[in-house]
Amino acid sequence: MPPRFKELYKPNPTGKDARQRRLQRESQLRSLQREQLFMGKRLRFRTPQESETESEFEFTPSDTMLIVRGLKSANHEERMEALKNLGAKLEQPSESLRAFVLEGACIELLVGFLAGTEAEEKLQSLWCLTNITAFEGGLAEKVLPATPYLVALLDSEDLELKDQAAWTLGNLASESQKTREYLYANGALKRLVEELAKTDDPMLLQTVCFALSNMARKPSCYFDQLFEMQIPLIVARQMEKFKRDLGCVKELSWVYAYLAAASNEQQIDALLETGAIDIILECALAAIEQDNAASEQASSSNTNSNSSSSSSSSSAPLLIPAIRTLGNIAAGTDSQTHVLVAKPSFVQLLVRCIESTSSRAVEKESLWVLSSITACCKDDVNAVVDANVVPDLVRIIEKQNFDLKKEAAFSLLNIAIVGGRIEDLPNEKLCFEFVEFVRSQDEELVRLGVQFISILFDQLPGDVGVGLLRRVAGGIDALETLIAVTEDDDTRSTVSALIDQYYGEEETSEMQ
Amino acid sequence: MFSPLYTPAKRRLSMADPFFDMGNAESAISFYTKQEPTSPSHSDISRQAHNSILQSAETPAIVCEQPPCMGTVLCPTLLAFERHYDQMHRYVCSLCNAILPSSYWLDLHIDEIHDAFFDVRAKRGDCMFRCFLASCPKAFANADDRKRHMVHTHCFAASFNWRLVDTGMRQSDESSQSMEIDAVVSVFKKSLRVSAPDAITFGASDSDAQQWP
Repeated sequence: MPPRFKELYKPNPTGKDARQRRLQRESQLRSLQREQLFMGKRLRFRTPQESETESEFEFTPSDTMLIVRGLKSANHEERMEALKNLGAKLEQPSESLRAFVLEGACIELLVGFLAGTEAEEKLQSLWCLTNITAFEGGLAEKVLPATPYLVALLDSEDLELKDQAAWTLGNLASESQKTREYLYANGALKRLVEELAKTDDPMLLQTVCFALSNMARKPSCYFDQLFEMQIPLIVARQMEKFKRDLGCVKELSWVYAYLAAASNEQQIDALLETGAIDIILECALAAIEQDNAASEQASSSNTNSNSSSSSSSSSAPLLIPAIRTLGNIAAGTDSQTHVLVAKPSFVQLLVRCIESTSSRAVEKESLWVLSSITACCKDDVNAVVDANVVPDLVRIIEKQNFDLKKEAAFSLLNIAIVGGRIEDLPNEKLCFEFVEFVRSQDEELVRLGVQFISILFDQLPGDVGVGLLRRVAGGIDALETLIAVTEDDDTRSTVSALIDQYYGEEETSEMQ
Repeated sequence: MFSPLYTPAKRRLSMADPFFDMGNAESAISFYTKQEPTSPSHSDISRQAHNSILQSAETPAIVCEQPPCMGTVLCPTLLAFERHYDQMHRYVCSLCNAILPSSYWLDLHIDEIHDAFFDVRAKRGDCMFRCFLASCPKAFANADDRKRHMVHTHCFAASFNWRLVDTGMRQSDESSQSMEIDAVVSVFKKSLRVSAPDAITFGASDSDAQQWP
């Protein structure tokens, strides 16, 4: 006989419910939004233990009422419960939760806690605000009125509160020029820089760097202030102090990366003078060499394992900001490029990054840096070629997808044009690849392809260049089709000259 | 000396440039993986998110399997593939299966090769031979005058395949290097043409009656 009041029993999670919760959690992470993946905002997730106890049903309007009741409760436990519940739901806000934030009393209630006295409640409230600012659609802007409280919390004695306040400011800064300038007007930049200079705590340092990196985004009206406040020097000092902590070096490098991306010539000089670049190079090189050593060890001891397919580069998080910084400095004036190339570890690092296949993003961005280096002057090209980068460029142009092929092509063309070293390149293989570019019908790739063939014809002696093209199936046909369809007179002129040279040579050899 | 199509240049990129999307995603995923290091399924899921981002960022090339390309042509984007398809597979003359690289070229081909009145009017002296560029309104009384115009005004190569409008595009082959060019052209003209009956009939006829069981 079934129990009499079964319908009154509180539902316990069954196997099916647990699976449902797990699937929801998985889809949560899988749908990390553009804001968190590409725009530099950071969500704070609860640990699985923390969220197990909470219901994960869709947030309905009646849930709103429950939360509001909880937040306004006179009982501390109930307020905490409501705050934690809200924080968990904010990891993936539903439509009705967004409406509650945008139109309801959510922000007002949360800011109320910041003005209060309970540290635990302040932290939970900050946590909610952090996650609200991590989304798009106007949610972050709603949190702007909390700015004075956030800045004030940077003065708190409590490290966790400081950390969470800085985190929220970082997300806000990433949102738009308007939010950045609002934060600046409320003194956020000044306080963050002070914190950057004086903090001894590695976690807080990292969060403050995150906030400053976002404050350094352009456009903004106060970018030059970042240099007047001596941020590059402060970053360099902290980098020296924390150079064994790769998490800190990584976040400090991000600050440099954002600065370098928007700096003028004098500001780039300022970045070069602090010595931080040398520390970045040292740490990045050590990290990638450690990665290589680890993967060699793994592949020699596990001959049967498929670990190579699932292992990700552990040095990539540090390499990415390092390479971005170096790339934007290398794209400065010729003397600035040369300062970098003259550092022995710089070329070595670039070559290691291009050789390594464990992180595609690192490979791609290193190729970008290399293309700027090789566009500069002959000495720099020679430094790069002597470091044996050409075989890797050829491997990439042969085997990789078009996005990397194109980047490698830039460097190869630069080596040929700026360095005058076409004869040092494996032109048989390259001719094939560049003809593929012409056949690909992508405008930029077609231009690169035609330019390479033009260099082969111009700079290789005799009819060697023509001979190379003749050995590529479809080579000359691709050029002829190009003349028939292109609207661009320059392209047509260049390609016509090549075709005439091609057939002109052949007629000469036939006549003999 | 013609202006180069590509000039070596340094590139400064802003942090918001889509070029950095893959790197930003990788950095973000590593941050989220570190947030909960004790949960193996969490890092597993992060890796899945990471891989799906990489796949969309990598945009694998589109391979053209149509004859005569047969997998030898790769296009990086859909736009490029459409351009390739237009040039190599779309504008085919239904009368002789010649492949022309654009609708304009196909029009020229049909007028000059399949229009019975074209020869009549050309012999009369009308300017029937239109410039090969759609944007140029000029027309000429004969193919030689047109050729001169193409070379001198529009920088066409003197060795351009002037028979393109007559026979369509030729395709390359590994054996082409050892052949004379004219021989090559004639071989490929034949290989392009799919044999089609002179007349297509529907319905039963004496010769067709045997074909169907």
